[in-house]
Amino acid sequence: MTGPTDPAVRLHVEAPAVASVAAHRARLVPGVVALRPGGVGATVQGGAAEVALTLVTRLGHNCRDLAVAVQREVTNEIADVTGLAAVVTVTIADVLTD
Amino acid sequence: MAVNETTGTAGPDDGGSDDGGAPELLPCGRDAATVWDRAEAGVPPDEHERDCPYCTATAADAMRLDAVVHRMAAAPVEPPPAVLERAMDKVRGALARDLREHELLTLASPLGPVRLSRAAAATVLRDAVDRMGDVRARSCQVEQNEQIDAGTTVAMTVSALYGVDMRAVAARVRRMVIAAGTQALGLPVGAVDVTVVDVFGEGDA
Repeated sequence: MTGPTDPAVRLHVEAPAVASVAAHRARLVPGVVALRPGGVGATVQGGAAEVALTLVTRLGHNCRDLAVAVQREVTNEIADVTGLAAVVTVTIADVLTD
Repeated sequence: MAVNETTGTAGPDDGGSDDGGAPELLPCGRDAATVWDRAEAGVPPDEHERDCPYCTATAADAMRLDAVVHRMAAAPVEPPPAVLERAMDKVRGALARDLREHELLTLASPLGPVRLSRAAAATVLRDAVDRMGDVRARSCQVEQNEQIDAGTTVAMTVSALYGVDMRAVAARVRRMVIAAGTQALGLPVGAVDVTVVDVFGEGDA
């Protein structure tokens, strides 16, 4: 049973954990060929996170649509797993054409 | 020999079409954009288009780009190891590079900042033009206007197959760049400058 008198459970999620969640989820988005290894940036302040992802895709996936899909999926995943509201910046470093 | 095909930059005051340019007329008098859109929509060619080499080529361009931008949905591919390894070399190189602000274009997203490497955008546009068969992309510069809505300006130099009408090539390249920008990149193109800087023969590498 929970109530207002129970001691609050304080969850603090560190940036590397947020970065791991982001990288894991982003890799599952169709069209993401690779992410910058170990270079997924994340900062956490209060209840908010900022995430920066650099990725490579291939021709056949609309770059903007892919980036928006990554932002949506990663933001949702971070909210589900950590409770943090995240702003996700996506940089597409290259598009493979062959 | 150089043929210069320049279209005006679409300003917010122009009130023009969504791709921001004047109609791009093929030597036969038809607008390349109209021919392209009809082919893309699956409209059968009319009597003129069936016999016209310019309209036939323009319609073929539309089909080629369509095949490229939708090929991933159509065919889940497992590339051979050699191709995969070459691709991963490129990937490692791209991810290791430090991308600076001036090397990045901004793509419109409601969910946060999205940037695209300027070099990658140029590669995709050049690749689309190379697939046209009778023209090869040389250089490609992509410049973003301060107002993203105004679209980017693309300056491309190309080499054309000897004997093809350069006005038709310029009109078709312009149409290809605008369509590839939208369909492959999600990057609206407001103006395209096409310069034919060279010609090549059928047998040239």
